[in-house]
Amino acid sequence: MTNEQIHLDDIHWLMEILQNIDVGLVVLDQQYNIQLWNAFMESHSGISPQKARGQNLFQLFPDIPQDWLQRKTEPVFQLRTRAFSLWEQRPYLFHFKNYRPITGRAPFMYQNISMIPLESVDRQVEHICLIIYDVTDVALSRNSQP
Amino acid sequence: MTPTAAVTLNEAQRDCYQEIANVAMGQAADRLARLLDVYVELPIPRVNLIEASDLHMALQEARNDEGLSAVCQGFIGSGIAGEALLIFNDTSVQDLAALLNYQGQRSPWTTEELLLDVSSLLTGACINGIGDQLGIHFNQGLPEIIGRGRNAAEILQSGPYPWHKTLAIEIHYSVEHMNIDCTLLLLFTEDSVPKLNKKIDFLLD
Repeated sequence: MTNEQIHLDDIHWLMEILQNIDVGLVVLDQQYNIQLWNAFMESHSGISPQKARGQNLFQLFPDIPQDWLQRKTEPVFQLRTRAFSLWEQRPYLFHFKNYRPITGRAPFMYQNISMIPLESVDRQVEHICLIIYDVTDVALSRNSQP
Repeated sequence: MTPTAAVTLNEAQRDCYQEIANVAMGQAADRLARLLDVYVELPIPRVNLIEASDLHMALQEARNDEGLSAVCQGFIGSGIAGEALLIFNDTSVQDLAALLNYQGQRSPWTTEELLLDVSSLLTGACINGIGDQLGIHFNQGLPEIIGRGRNAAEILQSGPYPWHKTLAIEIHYSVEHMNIDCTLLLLFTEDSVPKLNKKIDFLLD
């Protein structure tokens, strides 16, 4: 009973961290339906986790190039290796507006993205996680160099 | 004892590293083969301790051609860190693009993305393979392109390095009947080598 209590506390903290961490977390299944959508994603997209959950990513965000993402994530599902998307090659996957009206000089958020395989209990990879890093500051300082 | 003095490698350890690298690169080659549907040739990996000043030479020995592209990617797990350097010649890049048929996609892929993808795949598979055998979960960092159409000396111009001597594992991949070959160089940080040696000694006992 006590153990279970500790276990629930752990989950509570983890959820709190998930909601406060300053990176975007999106869990997708093999059909690209959204299974997890953290507060970072909610804040920047204006779409609540309740609304996002279960929705198809490509229907919710028609701007995302479907063939590109499918090709990119194929080795993550099939071969369990990470895949990456960098702002230098592709400035963003999710078109989020720059949220700093005074000091923000970028028209949108530049993003680096890691795509990692998630193993289920039976060691199958049926889900992947997209980790979205806001690298707008890096991109702006690099671009402003002569 | 200075940290440099701790970086040693005996014959048994070297053989063990070679065996581990061999298994890991086999797994990586298998993944590449499945993705590209080709047969990937693998020679025996080379395991050496190298001095920072010799890094140029090691790389030049591995790749003496001119137009080279390189991708680096850091990895860390259980306090053991290192960097993977994947070096392609530019003809390989063109052939890889043709093999993967990336041009046929609706959303355009750049050659840079192709380099990054192949690099993530090979580096990730190889590092995971080594980690699995040693019981280390390696975290793989974001890749970075450090050179396009350069020679080995230009790619490594960022020296001097904050280390003297370290462990290098060199793996060469080539694809049968095609112009594709690349070199994967795994370089561990100096302070990782004693920790790695300890894990190796544990396997050898």
